[in-house]
Amino acid sequence: MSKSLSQLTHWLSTQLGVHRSIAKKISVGYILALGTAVIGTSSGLIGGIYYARLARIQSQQVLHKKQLLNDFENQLLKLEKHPLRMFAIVGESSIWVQYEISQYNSDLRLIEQLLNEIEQFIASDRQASPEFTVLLNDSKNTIAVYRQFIQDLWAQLEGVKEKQVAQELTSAALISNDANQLSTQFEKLFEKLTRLQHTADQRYDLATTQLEQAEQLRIIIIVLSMAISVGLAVILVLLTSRAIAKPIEQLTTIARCVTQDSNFQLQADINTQDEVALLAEALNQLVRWTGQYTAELNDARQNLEQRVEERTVALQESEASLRQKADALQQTLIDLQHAQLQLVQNEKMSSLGQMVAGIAHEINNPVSFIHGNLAHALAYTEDIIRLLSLYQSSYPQPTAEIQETIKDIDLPFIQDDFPKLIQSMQTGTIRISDIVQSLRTFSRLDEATVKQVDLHEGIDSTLVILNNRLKKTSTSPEIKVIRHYGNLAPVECYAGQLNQVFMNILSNAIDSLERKLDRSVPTITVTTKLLDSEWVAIHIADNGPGIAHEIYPRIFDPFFTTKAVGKGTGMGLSMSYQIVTEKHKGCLSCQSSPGQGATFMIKLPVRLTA
Amino acid sequence: MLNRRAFLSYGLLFLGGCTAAQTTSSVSTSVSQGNRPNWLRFAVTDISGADELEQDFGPFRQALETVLDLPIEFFPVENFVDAVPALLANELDFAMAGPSEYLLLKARANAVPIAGVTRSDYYSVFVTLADSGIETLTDLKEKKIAMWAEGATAGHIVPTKMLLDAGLKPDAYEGIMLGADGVDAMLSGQVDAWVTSHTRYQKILTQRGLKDDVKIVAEGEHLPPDIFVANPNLGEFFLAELKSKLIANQDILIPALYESGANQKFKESDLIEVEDSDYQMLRDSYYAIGQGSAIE
Repeated sequence: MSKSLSQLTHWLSTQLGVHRSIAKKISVGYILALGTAVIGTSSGLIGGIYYARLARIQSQQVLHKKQLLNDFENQLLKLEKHPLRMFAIVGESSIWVQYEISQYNSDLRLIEQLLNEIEQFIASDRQASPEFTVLLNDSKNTIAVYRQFIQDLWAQLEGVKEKQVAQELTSAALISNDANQLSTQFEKLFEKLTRLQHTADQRYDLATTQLEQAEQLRIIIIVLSMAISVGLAVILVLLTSRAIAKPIEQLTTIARCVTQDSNFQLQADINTQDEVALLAEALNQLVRWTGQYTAELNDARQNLEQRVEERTVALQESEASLRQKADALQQTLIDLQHAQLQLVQNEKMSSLGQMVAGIAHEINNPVSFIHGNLAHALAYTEDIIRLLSLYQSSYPQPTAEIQETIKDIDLPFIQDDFPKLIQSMQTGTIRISDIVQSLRTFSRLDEATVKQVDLHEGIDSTLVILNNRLKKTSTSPEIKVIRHYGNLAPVECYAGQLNQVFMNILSNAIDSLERKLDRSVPTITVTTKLLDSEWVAIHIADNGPGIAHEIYPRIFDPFFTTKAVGKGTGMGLSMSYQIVTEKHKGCLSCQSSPGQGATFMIKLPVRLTA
Repeated sequence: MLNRRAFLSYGLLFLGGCTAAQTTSSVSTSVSQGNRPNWLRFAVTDISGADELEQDFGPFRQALETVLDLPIEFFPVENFVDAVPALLANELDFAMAGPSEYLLLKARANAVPIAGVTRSDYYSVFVTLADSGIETLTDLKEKKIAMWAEGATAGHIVPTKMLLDAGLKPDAYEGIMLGADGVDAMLSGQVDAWVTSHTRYQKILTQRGLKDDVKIVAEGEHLPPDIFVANPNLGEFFLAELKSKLIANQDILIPALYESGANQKFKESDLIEVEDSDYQMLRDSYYAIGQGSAIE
């Protein structure tokens, strides 16, 4: 059994495995399973129906036989009772006699019809027992005798009107020997009928049993065939699944190895001729192509990387060059801007200087006249006052008019104040002279070239010019200026430009102090010192709000300003830086913290030409 | 697993079974197939013998075959009660009966009324010789009366009831069943009176020219019509068809009925629907004369 199953499995596996497509494999599986189910079920149905039909036909035949026997027995009983019924009605209404005769004739016709049917049944039924034939023949004989007996009875009763006579005739006939023999014959017929009915009952039971067996057989065949078809379907499902899934699993493994290891030399084995084989072939082709394309791609990638590297170097070089050029251009632009600004500034300063020089010169002469004459005016005034004192002492009682006038003009006060007034005027002229001198010093129009100067003069003159900003105003307190001048030797420099530096730094300090929020005295501290024989230092510090960290690195950038539009050009510190570092080869730096003020430190060489 | 030979064998067996089933089913049933019989066996209860049946009802049988689209066979009877056991034994399908026979057929064989055949002059008459001196039914006391046959509607049952109503019990007179010989018995003086249906009376009167020789002493009520009845085993649907077709085709059937000379009494007849209750009057008569057991 197991060997046969193994052979079947091998055969199916062969049929399903190699030479068929997946669709055919599935179709063959379905066809086999369904075919088995249909054939098995149909066979069960056909076999069951066949045997059931045989059993049913047999059962129907037996049933028909039983019915025939029952009908025959009933009709025979009715027929046999005819003389008794006649006995009851004879001599009465003729209608009932006629009715009974009609009934008898009808019963007789039915008996004959039943005998014919029994005869046909015996002819058609091979299994009909000989006793059936005996019954038929005996019945025919008995009924023939009985018919004659009844005819004789009717003949005897014909024309008899008296009921009693008719009954006596009937009674006599019923107890006659013929009647006894007929009764015996009828009894034997009934006994035969009983036996035949028993036989028919047994055959009916047998047929019923056979019918049940046929039904059971049909159910068994159907169930068995369904079980076989289910089992076959399961086997086919397993085989088909394996036949389909196994090559696909192999393909999946190959594909996974190829993708994980990038081993494009792997190829799937092709053992079938179905769609999976086509898929495997396609996968192999794909792997080969992928390997080829991957190699080409690697070469291309390497070339590309090399070219990218080269291009990157070239680009970097180009970029550096461009950046360098851009920086140079930027620097050039800045230089140009500086130059332009400086030219403008120089022109402005030159014009301003010329104007200041002109104004100073023009002012200087009249002031000199005034200042020179004020000494004489003072002497003359003292002489006049001395003369008036002399007159008062000489003439103690002047006229009333004189006394009145002396009183009106408050002569003693004039005598006391007038010399002071003249001295004050002298002080004013001296101050005008100082201012003019400061303007001349600041502008240094007469000192355009390098020469040795006292830096303190430049600082002071600058402070004089800025004096009005140092004073107390309605919005800001007075700014205190503390000077810590060291013992500086004359410094070789462009004095006008350095004064411009001092002006820018001091102006920024004043601007810063004007924004000061705390209540400490706004102070600018100017410190100068001789660092060594070659260098001097000037520190200009304020106690203002200081410089914010974010703008600190940009304070020397050109055009950078924190002032409102129109109030600053952003060029002051930039130009100052340029003047100090480039013109004088010095250093300009700043030290500041927010809230701690700012200190600008200028370091200059003593000799510019050295 | 089935091999090819087994499969073919079972297939042939299946086909053989189908063929056998077809063959068996072609055997005809005794009565009908699909609620319609293959033929009808027809009887007329008061016509004895096949020849007379064919002579009097041959045209009607043919017309009935046409109307029903069925072959009709005559079932000859020996007497008017012969139809009852025949109907009961399914030897008979369809019958034409008088009212009295109907009651018997209904009682014994559960015959189904199909249609009535009206007759305008269907009632009993007592006839005597013109000079008999008998004027009323009571005058028939201790007289001999010729009747048709025992159980005949107009010739026995109803006249007996009429006599009873007139105070004459059956033992007060002598009823003699003479059938068609009754008129001659009266004319010859063997009986004092002859009782028959008015139809038959008129017929004989005309045939014999007895108009002035006889007289009618008494007339009964109109009788229920003659009736077509059918075997209940024919089935409900066919019985309904039979009833509707008979009434619907009476223009064909009634002329066919009186085509033979013997049935001229039906010349003016109609086929009408009837109910069992239409015959209650006659049933009452049976009970009245002490013959109720016959129709129970």
